[in-house]
Amino acid sequence: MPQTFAPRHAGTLATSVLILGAAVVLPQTLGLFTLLQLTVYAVMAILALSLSITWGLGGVLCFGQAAFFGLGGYTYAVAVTNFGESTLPILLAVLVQALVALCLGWFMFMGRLSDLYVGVVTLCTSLILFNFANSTSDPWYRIGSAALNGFNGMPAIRGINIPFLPGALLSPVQSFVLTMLALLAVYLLCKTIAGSSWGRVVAATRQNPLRAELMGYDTARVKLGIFVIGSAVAGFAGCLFVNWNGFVSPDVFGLSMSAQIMIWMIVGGRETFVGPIVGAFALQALVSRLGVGSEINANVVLGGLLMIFVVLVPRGILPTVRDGLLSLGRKWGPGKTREVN
Amino acid sequence: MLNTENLVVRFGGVFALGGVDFAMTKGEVHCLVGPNGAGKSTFFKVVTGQIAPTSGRVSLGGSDITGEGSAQIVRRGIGIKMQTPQLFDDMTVEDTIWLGAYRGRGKAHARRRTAELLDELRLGEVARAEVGKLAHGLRQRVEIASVLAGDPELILLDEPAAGMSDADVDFLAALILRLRGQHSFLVVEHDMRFIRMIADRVTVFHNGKIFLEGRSDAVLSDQGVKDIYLGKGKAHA
Ligand SMILES: Nc1ncnc2c1ncn2[C@@H]1O[C@H](COP(=O)(O)OP(=O)(O)OP(=O)(O)O)[C@@H](O)[C@H]1O
Ligand SMILES: [Mg+2]
Repeated sequence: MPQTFAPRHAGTLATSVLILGAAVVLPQTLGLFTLLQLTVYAVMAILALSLSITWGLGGVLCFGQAAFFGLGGYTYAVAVTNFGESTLPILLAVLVQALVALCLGWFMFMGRLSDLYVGVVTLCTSLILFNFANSTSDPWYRIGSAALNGFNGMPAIRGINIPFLPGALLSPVQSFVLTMLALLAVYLLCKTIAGSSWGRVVAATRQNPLRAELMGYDTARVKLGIFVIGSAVAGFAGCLFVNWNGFVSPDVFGLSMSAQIMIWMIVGGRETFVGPIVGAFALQALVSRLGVGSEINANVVLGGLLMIFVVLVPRGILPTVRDGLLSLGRKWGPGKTREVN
Repeated sequence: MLNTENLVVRFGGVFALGGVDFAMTKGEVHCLVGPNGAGKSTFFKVVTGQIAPTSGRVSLGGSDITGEGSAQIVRRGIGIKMQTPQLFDDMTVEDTIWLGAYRGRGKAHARRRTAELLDELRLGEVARAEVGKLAHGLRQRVEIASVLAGDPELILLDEPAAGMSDADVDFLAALILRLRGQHSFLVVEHDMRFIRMIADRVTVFHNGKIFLEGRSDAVLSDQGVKDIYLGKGKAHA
């Protein structure tokens, strides 16, 4: 497998231009309904990228990415209800999740849990949160002026406003632009990490933790670092989701949430960062199509797709297509690309 | 510089190490020999913190390092090439060596050291190749380069010549002799020709214990040692 996380400036630039272009052009060409749909797809693409950081880059198999997504949503909801302004709540959605991941990760990585147990612990964390959030219907469960409302969820949550101007709430179109810009920022964050010296150490830890350790790298700390970053980004996605939805309920912690994220990643291709973005957009579009005529169960289709990909296209769409094109280019392209072996 | 005191490692009912008192001094090229299952690799793993000893102590340069983690021990100045290759298969040769040099020393040093080692180990041709796609002998050399990159005082090599051509073995022996001023070497090997080329002293392991230790020529010509290799060791042990 090629070192696909290495920075490829051409690809990065093209992707950035594409995202930026979509943020500028689409509001002028698409209707509000489609824009709203694309907004939530972009939120989920950010969530997929958060798992790209934790799992794709760091090799930390996190089965409970929804825990941080959901907590990010609830953190934002509670904070914005109390403050009546969104700037600090957005920061809190990110910082609180970084802190939660630091505590959980400290126990998992410094305790040298095996990869499998890390998966189990993160999965259990999201399930515990799901159950807990469901059991908070009693009015006693409130933080400041925000009641958690159990399985009914928290309705009518304030959206994002222009920083420190509570009166200037973003319109749906502005929210779309903001979400696309956030997607771009997170994508560039991923590329920056992967291209940095520390990113190389992260890749080394993922590929062979023993060798990394025998080079003197503290692999537990490396994994903890990447876990904190990935979780913080998931928290950010949760906050954007609540901004889109105006509502948050325990479903954000659900098992199907965590599973979906992994499916987007696997189908799109987890070795790249564009893959999970494409996977998130394409599969959500597919599911919403299927949802219209309700004869077909969307979950069955998703499960089937996952199996097909795992067996037939194990590396996912993006890496497979790219390597296919590269090898075609090598066959017919002008002069062979130099390959030392 | 490296000492162990009554080192014992037990796997269930098997004593992989049954009380090893080992010592080597700075600047030495020291070889460990012994039949399969004698406990040589286990000894390396204990010294580098990959296995905690059942009892006994390990000290490096006078400080007790028993029970410390691998990364911690490595930072004290030990580098190890394991018996089974431990590399980053998707990474290039260049990046692998860079990773060995980068830790604790920064980018500028890592870049310079990588260039030096690519040259010194004649890996320039394959610098951009992925490690996983190289032939076995080359991979061994990449791993050795990545160990050297950390500039450890003490270098442990577990069967570095295994699977190498005669020319590669000669190259490796010359390299060790060239570097012996800067590092101490502890080398597990079966290849007697190689051992004769490099070793100052030789320690013979047998059934988890030290059978004999001494100057290279004396140990290698010892009749008891020859018998162990032919499977008659028990009579002399
Ligand atoms: N993880 C383990 N669990 C149980 N037994 C082990 C383990 N590792 C090694 N052993 C046993 O300990 C003994 C010593 O093994 P070791 O690998 O140290 O031998 P060695 O001298 O390196 O042999 P070789 O020349 O074949 O590499 C053997 O009997 C082996 O089966
Ligand atoms: Mg061995």
